Amino acid sequence: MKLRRRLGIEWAGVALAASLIVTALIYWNSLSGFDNLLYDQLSEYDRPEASEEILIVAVDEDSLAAFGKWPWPRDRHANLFNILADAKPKAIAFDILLSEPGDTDEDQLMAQAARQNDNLFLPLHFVFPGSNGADFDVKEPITPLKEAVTGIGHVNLLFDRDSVVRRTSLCFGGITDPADSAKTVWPHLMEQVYRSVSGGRSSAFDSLENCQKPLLMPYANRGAFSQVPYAAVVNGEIPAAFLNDKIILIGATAQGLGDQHPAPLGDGGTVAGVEIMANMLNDIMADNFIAPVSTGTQILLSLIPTWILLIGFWRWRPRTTIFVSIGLVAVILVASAVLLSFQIWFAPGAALVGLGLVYPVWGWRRLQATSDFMGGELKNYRSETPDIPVLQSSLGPVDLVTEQAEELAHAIKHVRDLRRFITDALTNLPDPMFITDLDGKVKFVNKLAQTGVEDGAQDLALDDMLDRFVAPEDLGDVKNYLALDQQAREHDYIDFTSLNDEVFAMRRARVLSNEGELRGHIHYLADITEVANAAQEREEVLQLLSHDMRSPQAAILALLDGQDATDDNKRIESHARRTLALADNFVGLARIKSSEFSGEDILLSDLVIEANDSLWPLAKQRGIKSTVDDQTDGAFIVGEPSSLYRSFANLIDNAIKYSPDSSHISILLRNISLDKQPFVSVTITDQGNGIAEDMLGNLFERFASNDADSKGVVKGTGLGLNFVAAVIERHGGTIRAENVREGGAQFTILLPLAPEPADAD
Amino acid sequence: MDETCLPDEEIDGRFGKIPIYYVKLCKLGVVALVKSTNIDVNKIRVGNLYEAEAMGCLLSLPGKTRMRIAIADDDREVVDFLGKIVEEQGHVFVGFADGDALANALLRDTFDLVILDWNMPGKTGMQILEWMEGAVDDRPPVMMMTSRTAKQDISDALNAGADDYITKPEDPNVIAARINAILRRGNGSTAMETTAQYGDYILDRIEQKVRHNKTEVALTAKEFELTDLMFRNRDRTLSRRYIMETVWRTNAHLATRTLDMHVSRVRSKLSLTPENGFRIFTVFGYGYRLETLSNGV
Repeated sequence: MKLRRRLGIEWAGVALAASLIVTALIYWNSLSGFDNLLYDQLSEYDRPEASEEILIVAVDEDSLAAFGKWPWPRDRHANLFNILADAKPKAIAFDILLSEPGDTDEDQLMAQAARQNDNLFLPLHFVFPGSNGADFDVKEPITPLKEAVTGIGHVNLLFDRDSVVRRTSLCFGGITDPADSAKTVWPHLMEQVYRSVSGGRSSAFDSLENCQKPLLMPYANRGAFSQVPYAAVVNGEIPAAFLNDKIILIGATAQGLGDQHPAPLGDGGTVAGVEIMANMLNDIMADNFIAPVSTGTQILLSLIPTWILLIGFWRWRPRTTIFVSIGLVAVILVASAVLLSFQIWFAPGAALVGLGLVYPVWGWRRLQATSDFMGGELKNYRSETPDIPVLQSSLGPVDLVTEQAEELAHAIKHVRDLRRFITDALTNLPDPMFITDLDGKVKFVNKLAQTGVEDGAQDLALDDMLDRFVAPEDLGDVKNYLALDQQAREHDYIDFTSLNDEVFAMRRARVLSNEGELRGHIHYLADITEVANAAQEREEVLQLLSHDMRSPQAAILALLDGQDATDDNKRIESHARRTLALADNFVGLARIKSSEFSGEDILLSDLVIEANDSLWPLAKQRGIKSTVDDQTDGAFIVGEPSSLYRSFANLIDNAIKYSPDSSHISILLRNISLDKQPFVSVTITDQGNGIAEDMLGNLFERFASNDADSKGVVKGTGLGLNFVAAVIERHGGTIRAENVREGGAQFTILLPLAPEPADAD
Repeated sequence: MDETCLPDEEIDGRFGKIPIYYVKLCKLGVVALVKSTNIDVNKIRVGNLYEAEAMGCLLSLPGKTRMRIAIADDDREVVDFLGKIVEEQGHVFVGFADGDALANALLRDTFDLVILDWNMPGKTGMQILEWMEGAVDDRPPVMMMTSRTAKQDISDALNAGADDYITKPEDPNVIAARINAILRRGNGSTAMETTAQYGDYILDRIEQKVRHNKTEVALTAKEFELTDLMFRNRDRTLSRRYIMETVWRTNAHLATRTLDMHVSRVRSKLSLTPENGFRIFTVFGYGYRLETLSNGV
């Protein structure tokens, strides 16, 4: 969780930084050097054909040699104009600035010669910055010439940062507005030439949004344009037919004249201004210009590969991302080249920088975050498990990440050992156990459980496993138990018999995660077969004892019935009855200790009355009157009727036994309240000699003396009172014995009242 | 006693002259009068004569009959003891020392009552009881005899189909009364008289009043019906269900405390104490029994 968040933040940071850098690089055009280089390289493969129509009349070294140093007198140009007028070329562009007035006669002469030609254009140029705070000054040709020629056009060159002329603007000055063109816009000299030849604006010019947007200008190979020396034309060495129908560009090519500029021709050399004009005209005619994509588009396109990679970081492995990065570089370059062939220029530099930047930076940040996280986790782990062998034995100094990785390897090994240990411990547990997950799938079964279930119980559905393990008659109960919540269950364990007739007690415990989330359950099975068998045997012994001890006594009593009531017979009968009572008490006591309490609604007064009734013959024989006074008006208790009945019978029997003849035994039932809890109290009072003082303390203990002393004082009743005490305690009640002042023993029993039933009528 | 069919005739019944479609003289001298031919007389057993009686279609013929009683107990003394009691009542008995011998005899011989000990060599009392349900046609009534006193054992036996039970040891007079109670089922005394006397108690069934020692005891209608039912079935163990269905005439759930309270009130209002010759005995988990104590009267 922690690492995820940290990585998310790191990622967002890297993404933002990369995007900003790419945008800035494009905005400030910082990568033009690289982009231009690439452009030069790419344009190498697709140079336009030079038009045959274009002819350069060059002021070259030969002409300078023939006519002397530059600048020449303007009548020489007039001379050239005259010669050209005779040859009737399509158009003439005179790429030599004539903005300063010279010798007036010569100027007039030149203007006159210029008028001879139909399509003669002169250049104008701009001076930056302009005078008097203007952006620029326009330097037009001198007025006589300007009036004499067909048109003028600008010849400003655009230099890239490396001073190479790759671009050109077809016009200069503000928005291209056809209606207002003359005033604010100066078309390029070549555009003017083209218009005069073709009779309309070039399509490149038409598609311009504004003059500020330069176009890339493909160059034909060096020397591709026909060129004749100025001197040769003036000297008549060039036949008029050769000049006829040509577009003639006149300009300086001689090195010394300064009109030489670097051009993207791959050879690092310079090209004469007039030749740049020729290339430009050539491009206008063939519509060869290349439009760079707008800055916005450039930013968007450049960000795409970076973001592909950024998103890919979340999904791909580092190896994949490196391949993808390399692939993206190739794609960018190829796309750039392909676009170029469609006359669109996308500068790939920023996109490549984005890619190049984001990969290592992310790699760094990710490593940092992971390393920090790992360091923290390892620290936690170390503090939780002090016995972990921390990397003490590292071989010399290594870098932090390596150290962490080695420590992690140690921790993993430790965990593996631990798991192995736990698995071994669980597997070899003497009692069966299994672990289930929240979907009810068995996740772990130890050996013993597996022997009962067959192999391959892992990942088995719990119900299926139980089907294979639990005897069908207990299956429902077990499933019910497991379906219930911890709180909802009546017992915290359940007994069941397996298909192999073993008896198990199963307990279930929750498995919680570190954060306290419920993960599953552990089920412990204790083999209680022997205990269950022992319980079964004990029950059988009890049954047997109960029957076999009673039967002979019953037979004795049956035998005596027909006999005369001699003293001996009476004694035999009394002893037989005592043995019976002993057996009943013994079995009753054993049952109580071995069985769970299961009470039912009992009307206590009637139970006491019936117990009293059952002893009536005994009382009658001795003239004793035993009466029940019920003041409760229907007091119900929750109890086990048989044992309660026996208990009261025991108490009343005792009372009769130790009462003098013709005395009275009173049994009183009352409702009382103890700590605001309703109880019913039963008091049995006789008129005998009471209980010996030394016996009062341990009257209810087992095997207290059963003998009455010579005076007939009660000293205990063997199991009888012990049984009574156990029963009353089992019912959540109390019993107390005391001697009343008038003489005689009094037993007081308190039993909690049953709750009122909801449907009482 | 062999089965005999009587000719069709009318007979005085509890509810006046009853036309008899089919009369069968059964063992025990019981005459089953079946109003509807829908009931197969052969299927009426003594064990479910209560049902016929409750429907008002069962009457018995007057006259005392000598009964034949099987007594099974592995203890010779007990068999003799019981045999003596039975003979004093004018019946004859056959003793068996183990369950298998009894089972064989039951297949070949006819008895009016079987007294079964719980624990015996061979088949135990409970096994015999279960076996009889399926194996013996026209099963005679069964009295379980046991040294076991646990509540569960007794209610199990009664619910398994025993007609009554006696715990050993028991007073001979009580045993005689209990045996007679079972045998009396078909005897004439179930015929309803307008008044009936039981010991010092006189029941007026028209006025629904009880007089005890010439004192009139005020009872509610339900209390009277309960009293009447218990007196008529004295010395016989009645299930709570039977009492509820007969007195409250409902199968529906009746709060168990209701019956407890009625029995308690009848007990105290009528002073049903041993001094007066009667005691009400609760058979926990099953029902009640009104016992007569001959030595008390």
